[in-house]
Amino acid sequence: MIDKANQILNIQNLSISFGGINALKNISLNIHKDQITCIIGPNGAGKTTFFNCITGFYKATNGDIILNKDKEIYINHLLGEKFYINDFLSIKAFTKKFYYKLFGGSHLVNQNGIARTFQNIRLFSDITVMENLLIAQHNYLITNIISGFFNTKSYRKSLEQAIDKAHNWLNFFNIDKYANHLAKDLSYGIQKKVEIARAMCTGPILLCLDEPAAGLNNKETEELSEYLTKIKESENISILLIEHDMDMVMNISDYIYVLDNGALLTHGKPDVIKKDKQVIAAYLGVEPK
Amino acid sequence: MNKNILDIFKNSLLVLILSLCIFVPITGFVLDDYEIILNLKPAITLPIICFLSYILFSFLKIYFHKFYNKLAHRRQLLETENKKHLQNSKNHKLRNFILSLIFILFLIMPFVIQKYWLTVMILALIYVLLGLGLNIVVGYAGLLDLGFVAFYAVGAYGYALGSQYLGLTFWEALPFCALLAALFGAILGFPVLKMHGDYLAIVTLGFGEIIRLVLNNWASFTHGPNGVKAMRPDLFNLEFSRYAKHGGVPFHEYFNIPYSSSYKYIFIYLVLLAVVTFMIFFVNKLKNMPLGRAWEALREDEIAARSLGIYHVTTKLSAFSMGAFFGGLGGVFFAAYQGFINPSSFTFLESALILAIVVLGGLGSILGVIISAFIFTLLPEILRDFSSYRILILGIIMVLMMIVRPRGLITIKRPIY
Repeated sequence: MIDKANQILNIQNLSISFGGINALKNISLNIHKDQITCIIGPNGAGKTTFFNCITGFYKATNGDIILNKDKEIYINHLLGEKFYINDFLSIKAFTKKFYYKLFGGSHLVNQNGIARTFQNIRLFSDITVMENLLIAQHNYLITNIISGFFNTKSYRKSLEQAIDKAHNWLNFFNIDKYANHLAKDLSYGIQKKVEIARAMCTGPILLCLDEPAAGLNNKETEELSEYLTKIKESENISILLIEHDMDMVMNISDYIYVLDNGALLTHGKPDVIKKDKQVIAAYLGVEPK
Repeated sequence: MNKNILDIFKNSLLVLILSLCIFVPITGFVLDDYEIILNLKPAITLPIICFLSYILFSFLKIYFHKFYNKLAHRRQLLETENKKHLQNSKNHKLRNFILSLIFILFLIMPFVIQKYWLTVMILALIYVLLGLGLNIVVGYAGLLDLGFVAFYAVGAYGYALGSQYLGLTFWEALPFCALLAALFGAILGFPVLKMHGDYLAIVTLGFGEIIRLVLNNWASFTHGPNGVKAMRPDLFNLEFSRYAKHGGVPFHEYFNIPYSSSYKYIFIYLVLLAVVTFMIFFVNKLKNMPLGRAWEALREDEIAARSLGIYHVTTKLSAFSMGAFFGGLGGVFFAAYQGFINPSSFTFLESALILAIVVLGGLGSILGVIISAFIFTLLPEILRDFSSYRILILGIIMVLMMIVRPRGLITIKRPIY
């Protein structure tokens, strides 16, 4: 393999099928550290399915997704796998699998450093923006109800830190004045920002954004591109992006993967992809000869 | 304004003439045997009533209009400030003063009111406890639970059977039964983890019925429909019966005061008041704790909550158990206060009543739940004289409430950070 030190995510032979439909076929790709990687492709190409596999919402039928933190973390292990006969021979492997079977799931993927947003905004709409961001920091707070009841020093400290962090991220996106507004009262563009801020509050090393520019106007898209590059540079966070807005994609991404019909069509730097005939054909169709 | 009044008088005269035209022929002529008698008394009083009521209602309409406009204006002002949904932190002092005043009022109440009303108050406080419990499950976590009475039954039977088989006293039964009910809550939680809304409601309904049916039919253990006697509570070996029954000293003998059967109720009331106060305090804090927020996140959007690292299984189970904990506590007090329980106290109607309390109070609002619990227990007692219309009036009040305040008595306020 190529040097792993620069890669944050290795995906090897990833396939997933729903019933008889193969939504993803044998996809292998690497996502580099501290880069913005884009995934493009026509509608129905399997981009969101691919996302859901990475973030643990779908279990891949085949293949490995490996997150390179201090050590290698197999995302598919976190979700709980089927038992095989040889698992029963080793107690260690069995207990590990059994633990993930009981307590595994997409929340562990997030706790290991992959945060995501959704194609259609999924904010907690009936509560305030600040509470949204505090919920995202659930695992950093002291969740013990007894110390919460007695309002202990450590509890207060953890809460204050969480509030500070939330304010920082709101300030980053210039939306701090909306901290105490109900999430549903905000406009679409601001809700999108809040969702990214919320994802950032979970302290990720890889941020997955599912069509962040959908429904935004040109100015807002430009603004968003700036924010994303700023996140990449200042926080050392890798960003994985699904996007249809080609201007934005070509502008900000360091590397592009193209999916079509559940398979990897091609990949390369933006200026290469721009001229690729296969990509143009997949997006626009080819003239019949 | 003057023009308005003139209009009203003009119209009212028209009403008078029209009603005279109608009522004189209808009520003025009475057929008596073979002759027609002119009976002018009702023929004139009825039109006059119409006339006066027209004037009255027209004026009322004007004043209501003014009043309503004022209200609407004020509401608009609040909304433009966009702070309607936030907690008002300014009036803390006043609020604390009022709360302590109410608490003192409740504290001296048992020594003033009659025994009958005391028992009603105990029941009301039990329903406050149940309402608070269901409020956690339905209001915070958004899990529609139609079988909440099961945990109430577990608490009550836990005390009655626990004292019979294990020799549990009232004080031991309180934590034991609450934890037992919490365990049952977790047991109910497991099979319904993946369910939402209507499906969840049906399964919880089934769970409630299962508990009742087991209590009804496992006669060798629960004594079936005959019910069980619950032990009378005691305080440091002081018993509240006329003669000591389980080796203690009767309360009135110890203090050398004449016996009264209301001592027991006063004792239960005071303990219950302490527990309810503590629990209100607790839930109020819980609401703003990480766990409470995680429940709300689960209610709003489970998938988003999972994507933020919140484990939905334990969070849901904790909501079910915490709600059931309250139900179990309520059950122990119910058994202690009644002295006798049987399965017919734990029917579906009871679950529906508790749910009505929570919905009417405003989902997620603690104060609303408390107020509506009192409404639902005190109102039927106050209306006892009109017993045949009781349910009708309760129903009308509920319908009116839902029209005037469809989101419950009190809408929840969000905390400011």
